[in-house]
Amino acid sequence: MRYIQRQSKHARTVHWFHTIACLSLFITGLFLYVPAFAGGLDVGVLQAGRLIHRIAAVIFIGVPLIGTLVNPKAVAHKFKEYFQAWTPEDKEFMKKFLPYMFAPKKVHMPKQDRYKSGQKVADLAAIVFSMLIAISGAFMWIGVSPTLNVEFSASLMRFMYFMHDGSMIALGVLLLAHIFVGAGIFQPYRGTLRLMFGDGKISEEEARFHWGFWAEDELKSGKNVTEE
Amino acid sequence: MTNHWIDIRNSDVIMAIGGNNAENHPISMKWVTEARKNGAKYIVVDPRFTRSAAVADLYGPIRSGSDIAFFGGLYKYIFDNKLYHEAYVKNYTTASWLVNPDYDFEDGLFSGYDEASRKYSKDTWQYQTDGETPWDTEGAFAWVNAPGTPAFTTPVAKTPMKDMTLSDPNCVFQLMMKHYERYTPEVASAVSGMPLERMLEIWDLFASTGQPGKAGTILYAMGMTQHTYGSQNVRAMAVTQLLLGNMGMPGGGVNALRGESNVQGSTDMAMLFHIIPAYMATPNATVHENLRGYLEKETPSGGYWTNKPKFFISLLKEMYGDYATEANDYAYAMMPKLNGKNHSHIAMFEAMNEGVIKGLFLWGQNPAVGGPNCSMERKAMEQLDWMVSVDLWETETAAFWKAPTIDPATVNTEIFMLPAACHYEKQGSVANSGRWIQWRWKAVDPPGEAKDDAEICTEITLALKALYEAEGGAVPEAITKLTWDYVDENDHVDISKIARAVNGYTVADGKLLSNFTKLAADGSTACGNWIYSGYWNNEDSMEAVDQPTGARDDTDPTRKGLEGGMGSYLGWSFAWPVNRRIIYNRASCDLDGKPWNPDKPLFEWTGTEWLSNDVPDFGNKAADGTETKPPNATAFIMLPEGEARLYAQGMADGPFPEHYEPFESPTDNALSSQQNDPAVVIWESASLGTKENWPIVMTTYRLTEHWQTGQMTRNLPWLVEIMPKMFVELSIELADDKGIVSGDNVIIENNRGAIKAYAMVTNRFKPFQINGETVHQIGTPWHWGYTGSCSIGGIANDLTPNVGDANTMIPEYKAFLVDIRKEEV
Amino acid sequence: MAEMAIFYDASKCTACKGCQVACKQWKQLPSPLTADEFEFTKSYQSPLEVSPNTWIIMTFDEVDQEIGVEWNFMRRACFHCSDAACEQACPVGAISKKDNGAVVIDQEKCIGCQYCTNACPFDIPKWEEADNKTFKCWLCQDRLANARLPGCVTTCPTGALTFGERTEMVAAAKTALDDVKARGFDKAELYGVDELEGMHVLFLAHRGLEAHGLVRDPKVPDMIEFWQLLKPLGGVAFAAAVGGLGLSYLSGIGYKREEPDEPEEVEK
Repeated sequence: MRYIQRQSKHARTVHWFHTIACLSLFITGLFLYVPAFAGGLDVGVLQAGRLIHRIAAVIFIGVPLIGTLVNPKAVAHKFKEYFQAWTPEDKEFMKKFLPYMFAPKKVHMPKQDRYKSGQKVADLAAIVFSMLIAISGAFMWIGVSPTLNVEFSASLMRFMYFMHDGSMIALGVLLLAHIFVGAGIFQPYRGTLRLMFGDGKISEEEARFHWGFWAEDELKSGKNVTEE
Repeated sequence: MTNHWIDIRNSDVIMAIGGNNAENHPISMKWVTEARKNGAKYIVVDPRFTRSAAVADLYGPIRSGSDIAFFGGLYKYIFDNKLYHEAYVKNYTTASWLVNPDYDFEDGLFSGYDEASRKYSKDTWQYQTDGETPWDTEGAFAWVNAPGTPAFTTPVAKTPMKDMTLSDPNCVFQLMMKHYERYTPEVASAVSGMPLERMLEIWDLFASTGQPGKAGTILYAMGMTQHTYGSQNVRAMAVTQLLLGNMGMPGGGVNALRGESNVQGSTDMAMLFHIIPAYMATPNATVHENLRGYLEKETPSGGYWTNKPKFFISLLKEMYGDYATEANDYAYAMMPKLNGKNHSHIAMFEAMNEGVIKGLFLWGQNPAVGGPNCSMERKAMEQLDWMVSVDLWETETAAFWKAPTIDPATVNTEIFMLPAACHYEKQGSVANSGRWIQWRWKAVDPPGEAKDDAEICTEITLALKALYEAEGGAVPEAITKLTWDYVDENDHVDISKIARAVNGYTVADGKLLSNFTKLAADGSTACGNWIYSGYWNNEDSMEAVDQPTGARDDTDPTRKGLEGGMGSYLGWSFAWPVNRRIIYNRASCDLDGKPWNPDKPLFEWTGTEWLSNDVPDFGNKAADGTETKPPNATAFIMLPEGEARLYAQGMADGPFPEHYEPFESPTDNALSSQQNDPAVVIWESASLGTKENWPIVMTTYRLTEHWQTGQMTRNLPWLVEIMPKMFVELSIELADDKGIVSGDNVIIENNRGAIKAYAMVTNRFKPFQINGETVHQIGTPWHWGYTGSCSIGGIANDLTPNVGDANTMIPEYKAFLVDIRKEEV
Repeated sequence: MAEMAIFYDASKCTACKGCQVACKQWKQLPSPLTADEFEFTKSYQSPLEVSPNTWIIMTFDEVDQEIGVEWNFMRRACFHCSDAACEQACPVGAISKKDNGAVVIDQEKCIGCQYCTNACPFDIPKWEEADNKTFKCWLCQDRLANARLPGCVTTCPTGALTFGERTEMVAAAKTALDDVKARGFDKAELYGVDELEGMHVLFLAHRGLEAHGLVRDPKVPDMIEFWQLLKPLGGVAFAAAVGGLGLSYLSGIGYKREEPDEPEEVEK
């Protein structure tokens, strides 16, 4: 059976570092967000949580940044693809996406290129909200840092609190959806597990199913195709 | 205070002048606030807009040192508008008394002035009399015949001539009206700088208390007294209150707000050089050569002071015990005496400078910051052989050799510092401004080697006695025979024994006297301070809590027929004299014994008896114990006149208060060609300046946040934090002139010195219009110096002149000239 | 326990700062110890602002007049609002509203995030670096528990500060307002009776709110309100997402991939 190398080692490393950071941020953040959770905890634990939150924040921002620095061409290429004009299939995919989610047995999705249009939208949203959360988080951190001793106005800080938490909710929802699909909880996506949990390869059959055009191109060129 | 703190609430109009009661006597505002709840008005007259002014109904700015122009104008206003309390003035004051027709006043000088000695001969100031009454030594004054009483020629009372119509040109009332003719509102306004309209508003409001039944009180402090005519300023207030019938009234009086918790007590106990305990003259070797001389010179012909021989001999008995006998003039010779020279604060430092005084004992005193022209005083201390400082901290005085201007290498003074207990660490009585002698118990032991002052004093005295016993010396009896048995079995001080001695007791059996009416001049009683007598009179206990001074009944009950609630609180501590809360209280009623204000009765004659809310200071009982009928209207029992003096011959500088300029003044005297008080003593070292060189008027003051010379506050971070730095307040106009902005470091200087301060530019200071010219006034607190752990700063008193009042020598701290400039960096 | 309140009557206040010191004394709040650490404030107001170690200050505002000035004093400390922005902003529940109306920071729980310092419309809570905690007036809960007045009230010499049940204090404030109006202070106003759903410090500003430096119509900042809305909204969003995804999962049970369509068909 033929397999196509879809995710590089580099991409998978970035993904997992990012995953750990993101989950840490969510968990520690939750305790700093819902008083009911924090109330029972020792202040030392909470302070440790704040520290972890900040370390994780550095990883969360730092890993994609470093990843970009290491392989800027790939990132640039990826973004180029993201902003390519949508094909009729792309539009169809978007139209069918919701019905598909609730009736996967009945709705059939059109062929897609390397990135599905829905994925492009979700990724871009995630990037925007990540940047917002990172910026607001930076303000919140710098604003209370005794070493930096910068004072931001209270109204700016209040806006940052709002933005940080708002972005968190958006990211959280996206993350849930991502896990649902990416971890193959959603039945049609079961075959993609190896992309991140394995060696980044995908079988010809799965590739054709999800990214038809891309699979054809890859199989035609054969550069990333292996036989197992 | 003639009245007391709580009594302020009985006022209809309260005037603070020369005092900043909200800031420096914060608790006074509790009672001012209560009075205002009942509709009272609160006036503040001050050179600067203070926190008192901030809450006042009416504020009048006044140039420092122009108070008599203000009061003189008020008198004229009262006369012109007939606002005085006529019945009161006629019956309770000397208004009707006739004065020697040769009395005169011309261009700032009263008759009898001798320019060479700067003194008045007072012959022409005396009353006209038409008869003489010698003391009745068989009746009322039979005590002079008691065995043991020293022989002295008893005084003869002269019968005054009066004109009850107040129309005789030589009567005090007419002389007074004539004297103040010149004090028109326009002149008073031009001299004091108070805007005319505002001045009239204030006069009108305060004079409204001249209506029978209305009461006005005057609250004052050092802004009144610290002038070369400070005593006359106080007279000016007293006369105002007499004209308006406010003396002896609940809610009235002339009320000195004492600036320290026990300054009243220390004055009572003879802190001042010219008095011995309980306001008797200090014996003077050149005036009172022996006991007889003292009694003859000091005993007046009438009034309660006719008992002075009893008070004085009882004091001598307490001082010298068994050694004091009739045969040795009750050891009068042993008592320290003045030598005819001035021994006031200023003079003392002159004497140090001349090397006459070699040693200095400082007991909670810090003249290196608090004295006038104190850089000169610090210089004078260099001449001392030794100095002892009993204090809580190393004061600027104890560290005078560390002053920035002094080279320690040249100072040979040996300094001893004795750590003292603070007020929570010792017990004793504290007399407040209202004359309440309140016992204060010890809360904690003093730390380390610190000791109670009484203990330090006892240790030193006992050591001195031992030394004199062993080695003798000049007049050793003065020390060896001195009573000092106020100790327990271990020779530590026993304060209750001091209290017993102060209260007085019968010599024969040592039993406490109920009060001073039991004192005798025959050596059978001993008493350390007659006005305190009665404050510790419970023979059954040695504990303060069982004594009147320790009484703590916080109810103000009905007393003898009258509804209570007058604020007398007769069961709370003990007020001198004889627990009387308002003195001259007969004057609160008319001749028939009806209270001027029936709503606030202190006393009332019902037709058969006197109802009372206070301890009467009039003869309400005959010798047989029956109540005496009115009028018995001798309202001012301490005076030979029996009536209050609108005209006072005792003053060194004139019987009526007359406006003179401060020694350093920005203007010429608009009221006469006598620029300054003609009876004031001037020392060279005062180096007085002129308005040409030093055009700006300066005054000094205290802040709520700090205390006196600052030792007790500049060492306490919490208090420093709320007022951290020495500053000078100046007007925006002056600051613009001088290119100064708030926060600048500025230099304030005059002939005597230069000090640094932070500038606080504010509208609370405004330029005055004085006699047609713009005059700037600035002011600084005087709390700062060069020692203290949390805050140091310029010493305001480096600039004040060492020139004193004509009567008391209190220095003129409150008005002098300076210039101000921005410090060049 | 009944709701309690301090009533500050500016018309009776002489700004002696006794309350400032009494507060520090009771709580043993430190001041700097050496002369160099203190700064000249150019005013009688000192320190210029509340801080972790100074929970109450007197403020001094000057308005020029033809003769003298209007020197307006105000008590600056926590207002103990019923609608307390700080309490809403606190992410760890360290700030609570007590039954007696006091809004109290529990320093044991405080994590020093400073959300409250930025949320308070009066800028009252102050964060301290050394402990990484935030401090403000706590209405002397320890004293109240022992039937004592708050420290500041105890020391006030003029009766400008009084304390009692809030309903009584409101009544006293209204009487006092009538009194000062009768004395000619036309602009006199009360503050704290209705503001922020009722504060537990009431004020009589006899020369008007602005003259005494009070914020008219204070509000919990909008952004804080929105921000707080996010908490339930976030919960709803997550619940909806999980629910939706669950539904999707259910609909996918028994899913079988059909053979991929021929490319030709797709192109049709």
